[in-house]
Amino acid sequence: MLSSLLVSWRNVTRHKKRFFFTLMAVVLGVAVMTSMLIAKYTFSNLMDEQERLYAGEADFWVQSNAGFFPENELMWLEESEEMEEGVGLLFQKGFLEMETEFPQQASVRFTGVTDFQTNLIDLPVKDGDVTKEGLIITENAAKLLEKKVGDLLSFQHMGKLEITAIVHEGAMLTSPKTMDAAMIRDVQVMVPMEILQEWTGMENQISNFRFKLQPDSNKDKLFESYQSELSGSDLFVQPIVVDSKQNNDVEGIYYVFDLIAILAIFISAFIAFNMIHTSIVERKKEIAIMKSLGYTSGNVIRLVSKEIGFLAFMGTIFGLSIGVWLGILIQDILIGAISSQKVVYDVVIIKPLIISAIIGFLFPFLAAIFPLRRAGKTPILAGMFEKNTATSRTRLNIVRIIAGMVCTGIGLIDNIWAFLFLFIGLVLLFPLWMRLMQIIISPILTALFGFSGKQAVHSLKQSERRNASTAAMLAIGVSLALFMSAALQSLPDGKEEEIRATFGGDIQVEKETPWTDSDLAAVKNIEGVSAISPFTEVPHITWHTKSGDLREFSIMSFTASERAEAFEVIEEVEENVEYPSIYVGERALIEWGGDVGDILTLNTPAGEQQFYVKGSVQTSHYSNYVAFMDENSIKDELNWPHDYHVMIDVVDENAIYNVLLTLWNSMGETITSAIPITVTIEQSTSALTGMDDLMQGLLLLIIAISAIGISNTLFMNTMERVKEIGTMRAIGFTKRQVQFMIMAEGLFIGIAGVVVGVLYGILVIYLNSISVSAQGLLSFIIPWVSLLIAVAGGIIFTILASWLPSNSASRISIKEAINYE
Amino acid sequence: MINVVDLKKEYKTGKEVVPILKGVDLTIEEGEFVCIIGPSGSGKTTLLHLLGGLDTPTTGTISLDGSELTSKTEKQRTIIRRREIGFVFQNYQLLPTLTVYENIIFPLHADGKKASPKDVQMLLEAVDLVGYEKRFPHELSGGQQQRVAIARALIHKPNLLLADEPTGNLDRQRSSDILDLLAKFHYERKQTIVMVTHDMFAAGYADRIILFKDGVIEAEVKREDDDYAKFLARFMA
Amino acid sequence: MSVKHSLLALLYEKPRHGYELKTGFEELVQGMWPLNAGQVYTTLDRLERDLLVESPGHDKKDRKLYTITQAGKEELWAWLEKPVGRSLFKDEFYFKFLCASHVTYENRQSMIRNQKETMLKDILHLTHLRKQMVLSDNKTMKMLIEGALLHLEADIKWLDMIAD
Repeated sequence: MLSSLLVSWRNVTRHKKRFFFTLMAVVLGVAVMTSMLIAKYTFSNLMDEQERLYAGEADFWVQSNAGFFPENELMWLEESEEMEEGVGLLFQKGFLEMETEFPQQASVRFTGVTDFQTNLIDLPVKDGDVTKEGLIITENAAKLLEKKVGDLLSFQHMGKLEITAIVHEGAMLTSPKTMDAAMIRDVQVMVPMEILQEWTGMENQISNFRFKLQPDSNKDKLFESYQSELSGSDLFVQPIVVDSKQNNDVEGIYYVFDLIAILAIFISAFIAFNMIHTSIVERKKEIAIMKSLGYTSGNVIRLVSKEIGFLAFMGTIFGLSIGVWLGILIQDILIGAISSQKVVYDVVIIKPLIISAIIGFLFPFLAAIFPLRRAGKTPILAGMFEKNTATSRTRLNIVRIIAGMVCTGIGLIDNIWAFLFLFIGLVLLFPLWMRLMQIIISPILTALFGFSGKQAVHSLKQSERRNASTAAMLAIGVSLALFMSAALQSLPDGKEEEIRATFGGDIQVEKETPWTDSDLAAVKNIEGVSAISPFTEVPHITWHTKSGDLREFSIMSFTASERAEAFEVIEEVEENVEYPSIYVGERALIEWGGDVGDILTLNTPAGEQQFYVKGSVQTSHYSNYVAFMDENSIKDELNWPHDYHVMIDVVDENAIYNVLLTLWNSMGETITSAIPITVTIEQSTSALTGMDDLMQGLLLLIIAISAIGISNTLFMNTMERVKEIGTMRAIGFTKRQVQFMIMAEGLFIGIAGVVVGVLYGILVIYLNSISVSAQGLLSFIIPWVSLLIAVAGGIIFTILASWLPSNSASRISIKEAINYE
Repeated sequence: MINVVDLKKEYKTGKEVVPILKGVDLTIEEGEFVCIIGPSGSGKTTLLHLLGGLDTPTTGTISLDGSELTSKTEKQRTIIRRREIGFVFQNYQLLPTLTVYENIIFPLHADGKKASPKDVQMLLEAVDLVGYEKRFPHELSGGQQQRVAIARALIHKPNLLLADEPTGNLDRQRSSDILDLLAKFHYERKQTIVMVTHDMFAAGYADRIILFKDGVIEAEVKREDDDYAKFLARFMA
Repeated sequence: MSVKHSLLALLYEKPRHGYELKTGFEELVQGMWPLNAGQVYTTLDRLERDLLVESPGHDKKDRKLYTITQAGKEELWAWLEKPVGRSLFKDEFYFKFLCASHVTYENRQSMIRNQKETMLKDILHLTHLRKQMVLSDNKTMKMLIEGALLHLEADIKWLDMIAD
């Protein structure tokens, strides 16, 4: 019986090398996509997980605008019947007993907990027992202080406590890894509530109360009733929200991951297209015979589809396996670059695998749509009886060039999607670039390979379109590689500029208790301080996105006369008298889904309130996931009478060090954090720098996939020219000359791809540097190192890719070639 | 069985219109063995392609068993072809990735039918290729390949066998074998055969010979006509 | 030609009488070589004289039977074994062509054309005969026709050559 799968298998593997290389391309494409998706999902899962751990299983929490409140004020709540579980937390500052000249290195933040058995606090245990009342520290702190479970830790002016558990770094507790990091971050520990209250003299006081309701209770309604119960008091209730956007701006990384995944798949698809297309052109006659024997177009398409199915199936299976491995590797590098601590995370595999499997299986079919249609439409008579099916030398296709020019024109418009057109234009215009490149490359090849080189330039014209597209893929890879590294190099500078513009001062200090006039006067008198400005920041404001998800951010105050120091306005509309106005950071606005001029409903310490979105802004605070309100109205509108924050201006940046030291020495017990602008800059740029190597590696991978395309194209070129090459050999070409000729063809494609890629890369960098929508984050720099890597990588990969086809071409038997039909 | 009325076919090459068939009328009876001869470029192969529905005429009609072939869609013609018509070509036109066996059963497979092993065995015996089932076309000689092609053309028991220069690529001995085979099927199965050739040796096998010249039927003669040989000799000479 | 040897071959098969030999011969050549009874008997007489055949007597219908003798068998073997050379002028048309050139025959072209026409006729006739031999599975005869067709093919090629 005619087993069509077997026949399809024979058809696909007829040209083994070509099939192998195409399969490789599909495998690599799927692998890169899978790894990117795994990295993206794992990363995003990690971010959410951290927040979830912090939130625990609690539904709501009650806080006070005064920072602390007596626990018994919530008796009515704790005793209500819908309450399932609740826990009170108290945050306090203290210092370790240790030898150091910098008090901030010994700074400890205590979290007092009323109940160690609660489910509402989730700690990733490393050692010991977290349900036992005692001192819980993190892994980093244990290493830094050289302590283990059972050891005693003593705190200045407070007392000693036995360590009962060590936990991994997490959202609830985290500590610096090194003494340098300890300069700006606290060691965070957890202690029993009574002990902390006693040590700090905060009897009965708590910072917040988290609770969980009975599963069957109506949470929305209860929330409203709590809000009205607490209205008019210092206390307010908020739902507990898992929202990591305030602390991390990772969409940029996701965007890069998506870009690389799409690029990898795109190049693989192109290589698959090349193979399928060529295979169908070659088999025109066979297809015509099948049709003459009664195959309909549908039959033909089904037959060829089965062959593509093999490619897709095998490519996906291998690609997924390699992709998982690669994804885990990339994830490790990424976390290492971004997070300063060791973080435990779960790799998310299932969803990326399913998505990759679907895309991996489908894209070869998408790439095959046009060849398949062509196969179906193969004319019987022409296919069977026309002797010469080889493509004739074509002149430049005018329509294609015009379309290319138009696309390039659109590509120059300042819009993120316009770049896509620039690259479509690149592909369309490539035959033209090839012709131009010929003028430059021909003499080089002739010089390198002599007559073989000259011959190669002629041969390249035979399948000009395929060669041009192959080079175009390489060019796209190279230009994106350049753009990425230019971006990674200039983004930190752009970020720094932005932070300097909108940080609002030099040191941002947050205190546990409201600033008093005497506090402010003391700070003002520190040597090196030129000005201080207390400001208001209301944390944990919750709201719903247009699609109904709960989100959380902070609202900061700004001074109308100096608002440029806090943010840069992107869009602004006229005042609305009915509602108080706020300016919303662009990321928050996008997340919300509304527009400037809309009304935004927020849950604030003053209860549920409506605000008029007067403008969208760009700021360095909270990665632009924040809102601003005029300092004159923020306290009244939000029921937030106290200022916990102050911005210090210093005479010059060298004074920061001394000011900080004095600050910690004089009022260290009450300072929650004191972050100088220099640290903020360093933190937000170090992650980008850390990713540089990873990106370089990934883009080299993209160039490698393009190189596989060159191999494949050369294999196809030589296969079509067996007779011609045989004749050349017969009339005196040596094996070596044939080999050189094919190498020279590959090199031409490679050089054309690299050169055009570099030029386009520089063009893209330039367009981005003058782009308004990129908000000036990118400046025009040429990343010389990457340029060198891309050029060298492109040429080396090309030589490697050309070697195999050239070798097999040189082995073409003269006799067989001449008899070749 | 076949009725051709005022069939015309033109090809466009650039701006020029080249008429290939200039009005052909022809009737072929069930069980006839008809040979079409004529110089190359006379349109005989084009006529055969039109009869097999591989191409469509510019004007005129072809009826096959009373149903008009020329008004059918491409797909309908394909279905008629795989059920009613068998094709043998000069270049054998075997499918290189299929074995002898798979090549033979291809028309049935295309029609979604299964081959009866007995039928295949009988055909293999008839074309003397028993034992070659698993070979691939490139492992066979030209004559063997053409015998596979004949078996393939007959596996679905077509009403009409169309042969386009079936002996054109073969030497005298092998072409005689092929013609013998066709004669045998014609005699034993009353197979209707229309064969295009310019080979006198092949033409002698037919019941009726149609002479083509410049896109029209110049003359035709039946075996039983007295001046059969003389007539032909005149044109061939 | 060797009617003599064909009769020996028929008698080698089995004893036959004169009429039987006539029909046997005609069957052998598929009726394409009519042989009259007189020729059969003259040949038989000569064979008997040369002691190649002998008569064991008459059958029930009083017809004279013939059998092959040992000498007859030897003669048959010798004949079968002896290769046949090809004389250039055995073909009559060759000879005609030769003579035509001597008499500056003006209709030489039409002579060639007529010859070709005749040969084409022969081809059609022989291919048709061949088809019948195939259908009746007469392999020896098929081979003979095959040979004749090959000769004719070559002859026509030659005629085309000299016609120019």
